[in-house]
Amino acid sequence: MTDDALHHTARRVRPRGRRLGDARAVLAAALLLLPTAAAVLPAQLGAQSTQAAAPAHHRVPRRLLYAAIGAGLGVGLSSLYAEGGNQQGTCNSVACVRIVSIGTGTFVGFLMGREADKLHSIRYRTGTPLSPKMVTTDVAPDPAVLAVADSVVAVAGPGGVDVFTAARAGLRTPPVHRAGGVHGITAVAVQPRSGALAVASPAGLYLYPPRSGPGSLLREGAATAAAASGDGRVFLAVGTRVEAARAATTDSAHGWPGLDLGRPVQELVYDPARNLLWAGTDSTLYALRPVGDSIERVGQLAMGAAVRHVAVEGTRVAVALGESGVRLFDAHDPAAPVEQLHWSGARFAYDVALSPRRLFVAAGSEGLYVLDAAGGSRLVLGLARELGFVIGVETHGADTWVLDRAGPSLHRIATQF
Amino acid sequence: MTAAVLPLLLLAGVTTAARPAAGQGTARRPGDARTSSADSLVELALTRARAGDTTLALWTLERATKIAPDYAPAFYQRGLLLSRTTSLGLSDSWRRHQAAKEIDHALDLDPNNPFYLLELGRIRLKTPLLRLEAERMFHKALAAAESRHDPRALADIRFEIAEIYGRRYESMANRRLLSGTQEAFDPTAALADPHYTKQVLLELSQPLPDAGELDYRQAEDYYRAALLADPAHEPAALGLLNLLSEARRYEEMERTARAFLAAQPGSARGHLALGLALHRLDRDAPAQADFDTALALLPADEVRDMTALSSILDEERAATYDRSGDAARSQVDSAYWDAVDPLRLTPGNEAHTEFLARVAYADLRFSSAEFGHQGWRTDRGQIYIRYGEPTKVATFAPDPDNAGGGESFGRVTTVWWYDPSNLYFVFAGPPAMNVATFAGDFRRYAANARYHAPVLFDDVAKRLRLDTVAVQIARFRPETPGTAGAEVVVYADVPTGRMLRDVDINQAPLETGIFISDTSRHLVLAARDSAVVRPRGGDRVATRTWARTLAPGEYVYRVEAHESVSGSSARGLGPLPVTSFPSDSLSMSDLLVARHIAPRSAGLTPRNRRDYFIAPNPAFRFAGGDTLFLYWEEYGLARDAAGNGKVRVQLTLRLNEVTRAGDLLTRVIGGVADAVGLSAKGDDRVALRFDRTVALTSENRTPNYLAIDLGHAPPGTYTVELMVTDLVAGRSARRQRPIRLVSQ
Repeated sequence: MTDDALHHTARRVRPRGRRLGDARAVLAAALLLLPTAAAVLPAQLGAQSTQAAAPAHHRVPRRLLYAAIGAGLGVGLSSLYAEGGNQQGTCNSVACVRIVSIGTGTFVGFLMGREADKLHSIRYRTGTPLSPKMVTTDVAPDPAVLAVADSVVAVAGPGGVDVFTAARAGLRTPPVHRAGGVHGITAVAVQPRSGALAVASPAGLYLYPPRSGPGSLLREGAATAAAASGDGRVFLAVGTRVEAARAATTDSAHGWPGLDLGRPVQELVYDPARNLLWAGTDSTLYALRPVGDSIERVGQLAMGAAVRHVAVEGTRVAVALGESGVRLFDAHDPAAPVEQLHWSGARFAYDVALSPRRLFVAAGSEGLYVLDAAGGSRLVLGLARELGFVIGVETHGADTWVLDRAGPSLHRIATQF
Repeated sequence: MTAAVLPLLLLAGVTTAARPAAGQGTARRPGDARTSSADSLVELALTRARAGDTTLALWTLERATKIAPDYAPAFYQRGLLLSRTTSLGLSDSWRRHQAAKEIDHALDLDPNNPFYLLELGRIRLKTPLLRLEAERMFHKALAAAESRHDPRALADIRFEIAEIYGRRYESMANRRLLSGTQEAFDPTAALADPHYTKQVLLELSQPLPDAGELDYRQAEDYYRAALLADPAHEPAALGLLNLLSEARRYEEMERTARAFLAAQPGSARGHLALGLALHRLDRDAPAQADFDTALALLPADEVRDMTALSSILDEERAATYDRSGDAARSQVDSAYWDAVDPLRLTPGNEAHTEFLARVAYADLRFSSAEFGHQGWRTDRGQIYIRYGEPTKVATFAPDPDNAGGGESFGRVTTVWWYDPSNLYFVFAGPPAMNVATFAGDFRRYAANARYHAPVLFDDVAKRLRLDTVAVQIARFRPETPGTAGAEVVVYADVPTGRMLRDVDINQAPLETGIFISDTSRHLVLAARDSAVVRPRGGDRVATRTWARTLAPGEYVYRVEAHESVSGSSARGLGPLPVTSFPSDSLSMSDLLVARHIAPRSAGLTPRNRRDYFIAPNPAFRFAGGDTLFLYWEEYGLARDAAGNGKVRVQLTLRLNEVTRAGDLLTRVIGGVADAVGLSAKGDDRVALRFDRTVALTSENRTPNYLAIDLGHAPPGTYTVELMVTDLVAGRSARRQRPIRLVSQ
């Protein structure tokens, strides 16, 4: 008898226990593969839905899909069984095995599918899945701050600031590392046009010349926020004060003119179009205006929560308020902004970005929520979970930049995807 | 259940129980004398239960049920008390059965009372075969509470449901699937092969995506819903905070803790959790403030145990520590934390804050009300307190073949691995119970690890980027005659090059300080100053010098440097013994090893070290071709007939450990004139000897220095020894220093 024949014979008379053992292994593997196989489907569905400007999401219930796959596996396994001989035991007929296999496969598939459906409904209870096309690059661990100006994208973390080119190919070239070794960076402001950086840290505010060169101390003291204008002015927050400085000045003994807001300032955003400076404290949003070498108060609005980040687009201002969600204001009159929207669908709004038509909400482990900022009939356009643990988002024209702490990575998506 | 935990549970039980009793008017008929008297008995029983007399409390409640057989709260309270005095398992089945019977009776009298249904669910939770049924019962209770709009009941029930999901999540979190032929993680193999754990975690297993996410999210929803109903619900708040901490959602954790503390400012554990969140957000100062608040709010006994050093001492010292009284412990605590404080220049003690954060985490994460476990006492809690957050955490499904034997049957294996120490610990516990103990022989492994490293604060050193300050201490006789002790001069090389390497700023503020304390830890010298330095990288150092006359005694010195922009730090510390110099016989100062020494004035006879330019070498490190400079002072030389002193100086350079072989050839090229030109050659040891006559002043202090060309001495570690013999009095004194020669 040849080896082949031996092998063939052995296969034919393989005991049923072994066959069942194999069948169990196949079943186990198949059940493990169920979510993977099915994961392909929602991604495709998601992509279709986003390309169609997020219409109502149509998803095949996984309890049905998995049950069907389980039933199919049952059919397959029972067919394998039917090919074998030596059928012993209580339920040993092919018909019985087929019924049990299909029944078990369907039931297990149904249970797994039901879990998947539950998870899906919890994940996307506020918005349907979105899968925007993205370009991604890795960033250093524990990124904390994202800042974008017309020419550069800056990501700050414990090891300094990585500066990427904001051009479309920017993420394909390695970043330039700036502010190396600066510990506990709380904010970064990129000066429009020049690309110079203002880096706020517990040790003070440091200014970095465009492209390369070490930083110079502008202002001692724990700086918590920074903003920069295109004309060389830098605005910074130290404790409860908001101050203005010229980037060209590096005399740290200078007494900086500014304004005391009475509460710790956590966010500063400069609106060049209207020469307005928006400041957020642990309870209030302030509209300030740089006048001469100082700053004056234009208006203020109680937020009822700590202001984490502010985004400005035209005459509208969006505010991320952590567990209190996001508020959107029409600040045509900065002295008396009018609320247009208060949305608290996210567990925690880490950051917010605003374009003429869309409001992006960085929602941490939930992902990135996309809201309709143009007053359409459907407020929440969807949720992009694939973007990771989103802690920062910035919109700049056609591009929106997303900072993912889990990756850790920086994603670029189209603002109007 | 331990004796210590039982009264706590009882108290928790009767407190919870007391609240619904007041609101259970549905089955109570005002004005009914029997009901009133039963009500009084219930109150009395609760008082007795709080005092710890469960038997009498049960008897009193039984009387109440007999007096008013249609008074539901009496049956409920009796069932509750019976239930709370049982623990999970089959051992208390009969008592639980009795408890369920009483509560069923209460439910007959007051159908759909959410509290009664809740307690039935809790009883099911304690019954191994009925745990799954508990969830259904809680949902029934929830529906009842919703229909009654009772926020207190809603909070309690939602919390219990959240706990079920939370425990399931903990079992599934960090789940990995083994690849290859392995079916389960093998603790025995992990013990036998030190590479096994690392290899399994990094190469032979894959994380299971989204494992436990559904349970996580459901738990979060229910905890939040519980807090919505009752913002001051501490168990729900702690459950939610634990979930947020597990997912590293520290910003959210901080906000949640603050919101909870606004509703419940006196919650010690709320402050502990807030401190933990702030610590993880790198805000140590406010974190420490919250830890302090928490410790002030907790019962003194609990604080004593929770913060005891015995967790982080080796077993022998821990036993001694545990036996000591409060005063002695307090002294040890203080001395310990003082010694391990990484930097005195910074306002807090980073190591202590880290320790409290670990305790807070262990308490939050591993506590189990169900089992009466305090998290920081558990196996996992103790390991966490000693070694901090593991580099990798993994859980593995129970072994389908039960290869580990009966003990591991159906248990989830949890593996913690630490890098770079390669310490690893394996725990096993039943699924969905948030309980795990050392697997296999890992208790012994942990004891062994504890012997070698009772605690590690690697994470603190890493966070502070802690470098080493090279320190050379030289003790000289005080200049004022009759002064006891010594003038101690501390020379330090602050490694500014390494500290500011890659720090991208023009100028950096560098703070330096010296702290010398005596055996009672009283500071006898504390000096701080700051300078602005330019980061240039390399091995550049900033040499600092401090001098102070100290009385005889034992001291400890610390020299520290801190750069606030990068957070880089460096320190040098060690013992500093000080003795007096004899006034009537020969003695000598320490040998001062320097990079360069030159007299300040060629015309003047030097009287002490201030008459020299001295560039000390605190690192005792020289490169090939360098010149070794030595300075020392002789005191109390006897006068000969002419009033002069006569000394013999013998210098020995001994090679202790060679990096690369070569001949040892030295030559004196400067310093004491009598010695210049002397040379010596050898394989591993050279000695130079010369005699000299010195004119003695009234102070009887003779300064000396030598410049020695080390030639092409091979790199290695050496000992320089200098022996001075008073040829008039026949006495000798010697001093030595280690030096290191490195390749250029």
